[in-house]
Amino acid sequence: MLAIDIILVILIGLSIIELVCPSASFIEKAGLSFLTGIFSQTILLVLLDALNIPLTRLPILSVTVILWLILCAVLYKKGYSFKSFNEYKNLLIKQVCSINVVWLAFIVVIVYVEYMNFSKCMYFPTFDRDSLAGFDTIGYVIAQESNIKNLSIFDIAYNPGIHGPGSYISYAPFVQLGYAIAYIFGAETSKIISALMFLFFLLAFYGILARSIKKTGAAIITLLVMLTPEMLAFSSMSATNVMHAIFASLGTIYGIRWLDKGEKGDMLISSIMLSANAWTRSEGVIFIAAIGFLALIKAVRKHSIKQLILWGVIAVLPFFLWSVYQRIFGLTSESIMMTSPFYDQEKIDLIIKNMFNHFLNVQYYGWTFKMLMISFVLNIWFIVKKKDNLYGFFALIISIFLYMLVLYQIDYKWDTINNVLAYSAKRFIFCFVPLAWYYLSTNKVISYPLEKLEDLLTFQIKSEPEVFVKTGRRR
Amino acid sequence: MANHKKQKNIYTTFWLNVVFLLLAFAFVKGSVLNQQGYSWVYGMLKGNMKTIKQYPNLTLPQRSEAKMGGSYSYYKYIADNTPKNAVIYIPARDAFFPKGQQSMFTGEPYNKMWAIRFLYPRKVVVPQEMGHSIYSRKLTHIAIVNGVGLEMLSYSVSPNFRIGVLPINNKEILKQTK
Repeated sequence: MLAIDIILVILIGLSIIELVCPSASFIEKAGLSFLTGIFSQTILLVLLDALNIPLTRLPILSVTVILWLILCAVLYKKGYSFKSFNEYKNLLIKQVCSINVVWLAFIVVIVYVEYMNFSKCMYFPTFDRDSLAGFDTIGYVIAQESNIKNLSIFDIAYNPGIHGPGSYISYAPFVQLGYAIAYIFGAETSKIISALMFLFFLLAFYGILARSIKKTGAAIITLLVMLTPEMLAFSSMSATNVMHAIFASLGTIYGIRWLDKGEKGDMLISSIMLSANAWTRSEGVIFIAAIGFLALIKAVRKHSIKQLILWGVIAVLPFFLWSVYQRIFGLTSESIMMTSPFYDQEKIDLIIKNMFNHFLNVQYYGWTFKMLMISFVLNIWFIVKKKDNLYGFFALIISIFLYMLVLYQIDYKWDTINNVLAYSAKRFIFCFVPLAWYYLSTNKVISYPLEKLEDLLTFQIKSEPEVFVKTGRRR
Repeated sequence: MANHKKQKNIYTTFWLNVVFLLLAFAFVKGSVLNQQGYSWVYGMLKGNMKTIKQYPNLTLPQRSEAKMGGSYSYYKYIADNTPKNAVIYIPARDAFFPKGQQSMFTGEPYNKMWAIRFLYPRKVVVPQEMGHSIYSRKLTHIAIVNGVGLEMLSYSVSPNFRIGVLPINNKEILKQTK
């Protein structure tokens, strides 16, 4: 049953991506399929629960199939048709002809490392503290009690501290609902969700990067993103941080592309991924704010606000729906955010010191932020003279600033600020890892040599697919 | 002539591929995997794969025990020896991790949610909820950890009883025997 649901989830995701961004590459669509599909299915779970429909296999599968059929109907109406066999054959020939040995070697290493990581993730059960004391347990209980809003663990009579500051009752729902799906469909542990999220992220990240800096560079950078020590270690656990980083970084990367190239498809993927990011962790709104701010400046300068409104509505809607759902069904806790402005120099110094110590820690993030600095310094000439990659630069800077602002505005009632900055904040930085690698590799000073390398290594064999399709034989 | 040029181009590309492949190999092996962080995570994955290949047929409880040690085994024991409608008192952190002593436990077995994950559908009550939760008045069992919890029982038990789970009173024992 779990396999059937996963296939359906992938089909839904594929249909959505095909609908919103037909120009995306096959590998991007494949990568984004599971990410979009599982996000959509968790929204369906909340809607079912709001309608008092039990969260059991039959209702979930039924609404998922209905949603997929609706998406297929829309695709059909829009004139979508499957590629012919010849088109697939030509695509394959073209891909094979453009293979080079260096690309192949990096892909083999990526596949090997991911094989080890996937196996580790599936072999060991959930054991990390944050999951057992929160997400995994909530997911497990949702599967047992077939609902969200009336869970026994959310009952104040059973859990007197349930509405206390920072309580898990008010967590954004993606991770626990994802785990609930795994348990509902009969999984022994929820680890399949973490494993598939990271696998599909690698595909999507490679796909978007290959569109920007060609495939050999994309393979090298994807390997370096993947090997980020702390992130790779956490990718096979059940905590929220890596999943959040996946949505936040992809949403921001597609947002940067949208601002750079102006393609509607990138805009829509950005809004979907960013809405999933806020659906995973509430502080994810800062990534929406960062891209939203840059998009607003562009919209004002271009006197065109239509796309920005559409992007904003999609990005914020699920988060807004979840907030309404929480209010209606009382899934709220004492706020940990201080909404009024205040000034505390000691707190500012502490946050800046700790965050920068993390950023410079090569044990956690490998070369990520050192390479970012090098790439930035080398690219200064292009930034000043050609305004190269400005959206990427500002998206990164603004989101880091906003994240530190969120840490500043938190009232640390449930834990000390020192503990949060020392142990949790290192995981918050995962969001910036793929983003940093995307930015540094798309800087002219790095992307140009990578593209030249690709040209040097590609065998000059022309497949001439259009002739092949028309005549059925080579000219 | 054109054929000759094309051939030369392919040869050049071939040798460039070979050179860059060697450079890529040197980069990954000599540079990436020599960096402290990357080498740590790669070594960890290799180590895990070794374990997986060594014990491919372990069951989920065995794998859970391997990861969580005494905490998992203890809660499995409680789940196996209490009815599903039991209301179980779990002692505080100090009972699981006495100061200055080695503990068989790992993780946070004293955390209510942590315990629920393994004891569900049984209800769990922790010390700070005593008097605040209605379930604190409906306790059926006490988790005894390093002797802590014996004082809550309405009957006497040998002080040598260090770890286990016991019904809170004799009535519960009778109910369970029925």
